[in-house]
Amino acid sequence: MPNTLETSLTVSGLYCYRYDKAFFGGLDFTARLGELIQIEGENGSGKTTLLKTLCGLIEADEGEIRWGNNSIYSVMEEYRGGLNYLGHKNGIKAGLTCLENLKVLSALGNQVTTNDYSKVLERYGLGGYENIYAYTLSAGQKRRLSLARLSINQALLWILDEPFTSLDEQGKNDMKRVFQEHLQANGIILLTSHDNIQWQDMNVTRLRL
Amino acid sequence: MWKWITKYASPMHFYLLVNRLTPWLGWSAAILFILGLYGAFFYAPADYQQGESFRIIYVHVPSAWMSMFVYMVMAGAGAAGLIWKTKVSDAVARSCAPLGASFTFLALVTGSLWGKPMWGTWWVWDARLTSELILLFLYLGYIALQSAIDDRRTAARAGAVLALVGVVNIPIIHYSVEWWNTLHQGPTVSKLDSPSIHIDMLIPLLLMAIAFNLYFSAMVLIRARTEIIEQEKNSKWVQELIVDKVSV
Amino acid sequence: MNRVSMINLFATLLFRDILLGMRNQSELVNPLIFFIMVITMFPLAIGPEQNALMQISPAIVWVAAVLASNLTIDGIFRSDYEDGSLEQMILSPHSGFALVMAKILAHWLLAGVPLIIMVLMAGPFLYLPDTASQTLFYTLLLGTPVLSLMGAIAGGLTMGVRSSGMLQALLILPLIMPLLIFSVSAVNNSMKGLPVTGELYFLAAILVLALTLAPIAVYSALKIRLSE
Repeated sequence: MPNTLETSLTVSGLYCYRYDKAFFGGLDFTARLGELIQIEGENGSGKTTLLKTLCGLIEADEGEIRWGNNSIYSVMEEYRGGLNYLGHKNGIKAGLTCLENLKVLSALGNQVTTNDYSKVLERYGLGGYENIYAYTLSAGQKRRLSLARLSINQALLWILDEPFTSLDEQGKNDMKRVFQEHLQANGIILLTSHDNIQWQDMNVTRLRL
Repeated sequence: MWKWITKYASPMHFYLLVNRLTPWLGWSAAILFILGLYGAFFYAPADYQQGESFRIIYVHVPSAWMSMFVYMVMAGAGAAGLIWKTKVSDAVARSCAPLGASFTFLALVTGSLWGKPMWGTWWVWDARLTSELILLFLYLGYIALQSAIDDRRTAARAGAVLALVGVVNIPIIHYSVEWWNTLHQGPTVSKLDSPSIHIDMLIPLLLMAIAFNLYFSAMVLIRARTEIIEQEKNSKWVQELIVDKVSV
Repeated sequence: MNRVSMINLFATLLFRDILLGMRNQSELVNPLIFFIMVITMFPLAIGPEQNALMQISPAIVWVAAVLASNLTIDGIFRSDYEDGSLEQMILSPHSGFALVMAKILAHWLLAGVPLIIMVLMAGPFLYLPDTASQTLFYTLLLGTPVLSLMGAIAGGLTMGVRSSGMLQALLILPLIMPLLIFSVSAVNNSMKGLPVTGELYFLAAILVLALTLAPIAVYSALKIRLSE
């Protein structure tokens, strides 16, 4: 386990080629503990590609991504153990109940923080929905269920692609609170968002692609 | 030596290398084809059993050899692309497929043409022909997979995995079909399985085999070069090339 | 990665897939109905004469089984790919091998085992002698897992691709030919009273080869397609 105080996500000279196009053009940045970075850019600028590259789903063609002192490619297992990723799609099964979905998510993750799924559901606005099939949920509710993974698996680094999609005002505020707690616990968050999020008094760095 | 190889993994150097090599490969192929065909038709004596119709082996056998060889090259280039992530090897692998499929098809057609005077039927379920047919399906599957995936790099990598799975399977398929054929006592469309082949018949065959090989080398490099140009169309050296050609 | 979490992942995913399969039973039944229809076509085409059908019954049931199995390949990864679950599974720090094996085992239990039962039931309809049924069972037991393993490779490579069904059939059929040759040969031999051990050993060898190498190919295919 790297010394938590020293840990940070450092990106240098990042380049990615997709569909014969070059993305990022040598991106450099560092995300430190307690930081939230909002990645901005127009459609097609590569926000989702960047997030996937940071997760290791896409391999960088040039440049380095370091977690602490090590390139993520050399410590991939450990890196992924400390990572929570939320993609564009929800990553939950419509044919399973909310509770079953959460159980699967906890088996996939590394350090399970809680087995009290009811409490987690309540926190994400799905209290009492344990045995409800996911296909009956609205788009916003599905998103909330997907976000619940953040409280199930303990992870230092959160990489979130459009976490606020489909959420109502209440949902957005709830999530902001969750993010704030994570930052206070020395977590790192990288996210993208189309919505014009008012971060109020939260310390947010913006990164433009 | 290692440096030399990695140098030509660069798309631009590959382009220049291909420009230099293809005239040599092309002309040698042409010369050897002429020599080989002359030998096939005039030099090699007529077979005492089959008469003149056996001469089709001079196209059939080299085609069959090439179909196998090209698959190995395709799988090897694919593996190189997976391991070293070089664009050139991906382009070469992708270029091999239509050529390999054509050789396979040629082997099947010539085998079929051979079968007609021999057995009176347009097709016979001989071990080699059946293996070639399955090989054709492997090629077609590879081509179909690559064209179904839009991103070039992903298509190349997926194709490489498929080609490697195919390479492992080919010996199994080959052996199974051989065994299946002997089980059912099928006819054999093979001149080469006889005790020994006369040297006068062998020489043109070898010439044709080398000619086919040179032809393939020239063709695959030309195709790969085109792929590379297309892929690198936004890079500086390609832009300069276009300007040069246009301003001439 | 520790062993407990790997086993936990395997068990959870296996159970999950079976649960999802059982909740969507109509999807499981379709290939079996297709199988029956193919079986029915042969007597209609050849004629009801007992000897003629009996002679080729091993071939008919095995070909129909392969064709029916092709229909199930798409379902192995499609749903997970489309709703983003597969992405999450690949990101798991636990063993990718466990993930792949869980999916393949689930597929075999949901698609392969029912097919085995259907084939054994269809045999007598084509006048397959009972003595040959035992050999048929062994060939199915050894062969259907290979169909699942190869199917997973084809399914993994073609996730999310347009008209993937045709492509999957094209990819998988050349790889399945040896299986077909030896299975039918074994059953034919047992009908003639000849020994079948050679063929069965070869089938077992193919199965072992597939068990060791296919998961690697499947995992590579998944990683490659998810990096698009």
